[in-house]
Amino acid sequence: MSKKMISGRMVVGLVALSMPFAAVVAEEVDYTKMTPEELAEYLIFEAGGFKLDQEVQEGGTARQRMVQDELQKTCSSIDGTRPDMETLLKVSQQARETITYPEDGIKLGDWKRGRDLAWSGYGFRVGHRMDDHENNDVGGNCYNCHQIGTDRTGGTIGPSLVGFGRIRGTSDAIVKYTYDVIYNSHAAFPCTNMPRFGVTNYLDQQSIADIMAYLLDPDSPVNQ
Amino acid sequence: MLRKLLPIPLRSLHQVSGHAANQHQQPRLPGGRARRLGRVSLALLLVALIPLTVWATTREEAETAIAEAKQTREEAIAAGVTDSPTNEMIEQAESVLPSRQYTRALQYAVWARRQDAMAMELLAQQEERKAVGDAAKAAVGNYQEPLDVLEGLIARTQSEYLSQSDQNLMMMPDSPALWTAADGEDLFKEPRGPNNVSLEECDFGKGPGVLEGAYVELPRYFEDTGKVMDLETRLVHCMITLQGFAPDDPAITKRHGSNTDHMKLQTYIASLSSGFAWNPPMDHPLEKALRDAGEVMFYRRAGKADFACSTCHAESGKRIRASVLPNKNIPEEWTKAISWPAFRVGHDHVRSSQHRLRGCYWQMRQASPVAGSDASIAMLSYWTDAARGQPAILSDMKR
Repeated sequence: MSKKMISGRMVVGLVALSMPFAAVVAEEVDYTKMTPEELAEYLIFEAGGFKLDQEVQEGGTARQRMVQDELQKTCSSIDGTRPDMETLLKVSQQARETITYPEDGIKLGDWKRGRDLAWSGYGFRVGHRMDDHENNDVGGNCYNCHQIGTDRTGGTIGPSLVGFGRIRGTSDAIVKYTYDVIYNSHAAFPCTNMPRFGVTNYLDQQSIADIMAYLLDPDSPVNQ
Repeated sequence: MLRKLLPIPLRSLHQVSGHAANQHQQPRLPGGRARRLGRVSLALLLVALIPLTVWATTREEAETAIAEAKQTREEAIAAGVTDSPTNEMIEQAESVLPSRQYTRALQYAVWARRQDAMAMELLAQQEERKAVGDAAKAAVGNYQEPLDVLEGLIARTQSEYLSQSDQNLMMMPDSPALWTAADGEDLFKEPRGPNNVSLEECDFGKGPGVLEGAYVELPRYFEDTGKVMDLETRLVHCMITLQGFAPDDPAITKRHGSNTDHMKLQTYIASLSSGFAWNPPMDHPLEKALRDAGEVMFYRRAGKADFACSTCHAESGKRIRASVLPNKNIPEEWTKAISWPAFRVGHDHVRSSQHRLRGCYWQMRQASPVAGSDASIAMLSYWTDAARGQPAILSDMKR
């Protein structure tokens, strides 16, 4: 009986003694033994590289923003090399499957509000200055990358959209195509730089309808 | 060689000389003695050969040697060998010719020639070393005013990114960053903190207090901390360990704005590397590991808008609205992109690398990087490596 107790204590003692040692071992991570990908993940999530506990506008914390989904992983190849055709077709196929449509069909909204949203870069920024969605609508950032109207200077990362509706018309097919590209542009352009505004709930249905009106409505300055 | 000179093969010579006298003793003779005997006879033969060679020197040979010596003398003068006793030696050689001392003349001529050849070789080595040194210096660069660096790059590349702001080019000579740097110099040299010492003992990688060209070789691995550190992190380290500041002292914690100690010090230290080529060391495995992880992070799409650094910085001549973006793949362009601290006209403040990094992650709708974290160092290592070889513009002026 007593012998058992002693050995039991000894085991507990040994475990206790080995604990600090285990902790030290766990802390010592050899960066040089990791692949660059492993180290990048470690630096982001384990080594205090980012303020991951910060709250984000969509709820939850910034940690989930740093976790890559499948598409982000696929489209992150080093040196910007595009994946092979088979992969791109798969990305496109999967992107098509993510697109959902409004129950009452795709509609064009108010091009004036769409114009403001297309210009605005507000929304979803976190950190030293956090965008407050109560105060400001979330913008589409469109002008950052596209020239759209001729009255403002747009970026050139994406193609020019000047005269978008005038050139293409407003057939159902064009309206659906425009909706698809805003909702998840990877359906048409796999591994494009453009954000997936619908899939990620970056823009709500009203904002998408208004931006579409800005692009397609014959009265919009885009089509003058 | 020796065998060719001797009329009789060595072995047979030994046999001949040893044969008659030591025929009976031969079996008792230890091997060593026999060999010694052989060597003695060989030496005798060589001594006998010397007068033969002396007599063999002809006038013609001596004159040829003197001509060759003169030829080499001319080459040496052409190469720039100035002080040499060879003229005298050649004269001596010529002076002994009338008395038929051809061997002596030959000897003088050969010596003279050897002397000149050696002097030329030394000079060539000296020049080669100087050339290597100059090349190394040119590669690293010397101090150059930031505007001169930028104008040089514009002339070389016609990059739209580099030349997009005439206003900034005009304002650069009067950049407010100059005042920030001047304040930084005072702060750097002033005894501060609980330990009341200056930062002049701080080692930024090139030895305590050596600041010229130090910044373009950061981030680097530091033996004393076992970590790869950028300028800001190293500065924090020195302010805490050397000057004794508490980690929560405002001198340590306030990092942004021209009026902070940090921006003043960083701007001063970095400005002493203007015109030097970016050259972050990659000798230590940790430097390489972080740079490679930084590369992965550069292309790593994440966040609410699927952005990565490469979304904006992997093509030339692209714009975000009216601003031309720098391309990471063009080092001549990228050097300006990473030349921080720089005065940001739109902010009316001098800003740091870590501030730029934070701003990029904010725009990408990702989490904020922690200044000085290994993740931030990895990014800085990668982006500095991408500008390798190009001159730094310090302090730059940006929109």
